[in-house]
Amino acid sequence: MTTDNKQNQQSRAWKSQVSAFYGEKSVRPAFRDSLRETLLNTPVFAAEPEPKASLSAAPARNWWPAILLSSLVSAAVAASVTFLLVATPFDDPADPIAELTQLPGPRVYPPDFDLEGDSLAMQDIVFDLFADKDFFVSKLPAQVLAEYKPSEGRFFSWDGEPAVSIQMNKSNPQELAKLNPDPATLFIVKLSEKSQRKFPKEKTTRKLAGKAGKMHKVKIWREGKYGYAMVQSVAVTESTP
Amino acid sequence: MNNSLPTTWNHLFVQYSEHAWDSLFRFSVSLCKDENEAEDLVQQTLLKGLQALPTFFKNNYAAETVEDAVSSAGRQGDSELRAHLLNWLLKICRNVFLDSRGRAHRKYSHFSLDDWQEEDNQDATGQTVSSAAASQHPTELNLSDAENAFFKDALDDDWKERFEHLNARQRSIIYLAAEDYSYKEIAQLLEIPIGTVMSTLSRAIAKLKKPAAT
Repeated sequence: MTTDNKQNQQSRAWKSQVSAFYGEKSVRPAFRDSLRETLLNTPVFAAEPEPKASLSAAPARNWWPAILLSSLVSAAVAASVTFLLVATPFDDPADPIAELTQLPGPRVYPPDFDLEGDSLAMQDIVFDLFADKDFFVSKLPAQVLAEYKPSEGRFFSWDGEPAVSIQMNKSNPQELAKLNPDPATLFIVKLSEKSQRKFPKEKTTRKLAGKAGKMHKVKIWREGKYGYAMVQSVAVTESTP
Repeated sequence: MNNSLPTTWNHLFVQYSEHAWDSLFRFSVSLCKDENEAEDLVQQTLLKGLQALPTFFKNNYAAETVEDAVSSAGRQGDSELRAHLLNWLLKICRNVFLDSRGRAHRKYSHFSLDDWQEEDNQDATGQTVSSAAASQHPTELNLSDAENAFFKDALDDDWKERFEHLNARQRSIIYLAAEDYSYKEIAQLLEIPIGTVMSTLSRAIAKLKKPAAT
């Protein structure tokens, strides 16, 4: 066997392993029968070519009621929008950080990505997912990675800007068990000019009441155009001054 | 299988798609891991495919009726039509899967294939792919040309466990690559840039080869 042939054979090894793994999977006979039955009996709504309209046959249509109704609806919508704009205060009095910490983390909905074992892949994933490369440019902070390992994450929108929440597990599992079994959540939000002031420039720690009587220790800071909030639920005793 | 000429869209669809159901199921498993969920995905895909079949024939073979479609299928050749239909169903399957997974994935699905050439050059993660392969025109690319540099060894006994930890995109790309789809074909099916296919595949294979390390 030549070297080239040997190399080709080796390079095919993982493929045949994966192929064999999937080759064991096939549609169950009962499911196949049910599929066939369903597909043969489902009506197909093929698009019919539209019949050509005959001008002479078409009844003369009175458009005025439709135009009047349309104008009335447009006026009502415009009035409602104006009212909403006037009545809504420009600054939301709610605490935006508290609001952020109440958002469902990656464990609530199916995750969009998984950084387990690939903590540096965040940017690659953004590149993979979004056509606009400037959509979300952020690395996980090195200080956070020193203590935590990222796991599953989700994209969401915050203040009209893209954001991610990532489940962070303590690097040292013993420490995790000792302190708190709940993993932390890292929120990274892209900041608009307006929302920049919601994140302090220097790292600040706050304690906020969470759901079900839990307290959250939240570290908040800003770096460039991105705001960071590391949320860790803590034992209630720890939060008592 | 009944070899008589199909007279309805339903019969035509079953006759030409049935051979693809196992492949479709495997692809579905690669996307959602769970076999029950994969069965639901296959069913939804096939029902969507059935409804879209007249459009498929109209757009690809200028066939307006079942009779036209049957004769165009005859002209095309069974195996070629079946392969075309399978790839089309894989695309539908991927879209159904992404639709079920929220807004961010839908954005991903809007990633235009037209961007692949530009993306290919810009993808920062392409560094693990051989530069010679990356600089080739995609039509000249296929896995066997590029993979030798980093896909030499067989996977160890624990690879399946690590495979479970890959995400849907990585699993589906690995599955398609193992089925001998070229980079270009995978990029077309998944509607992602060819550079992303290459970088994702190389990362995923690297993960399969060794225990996860941060």
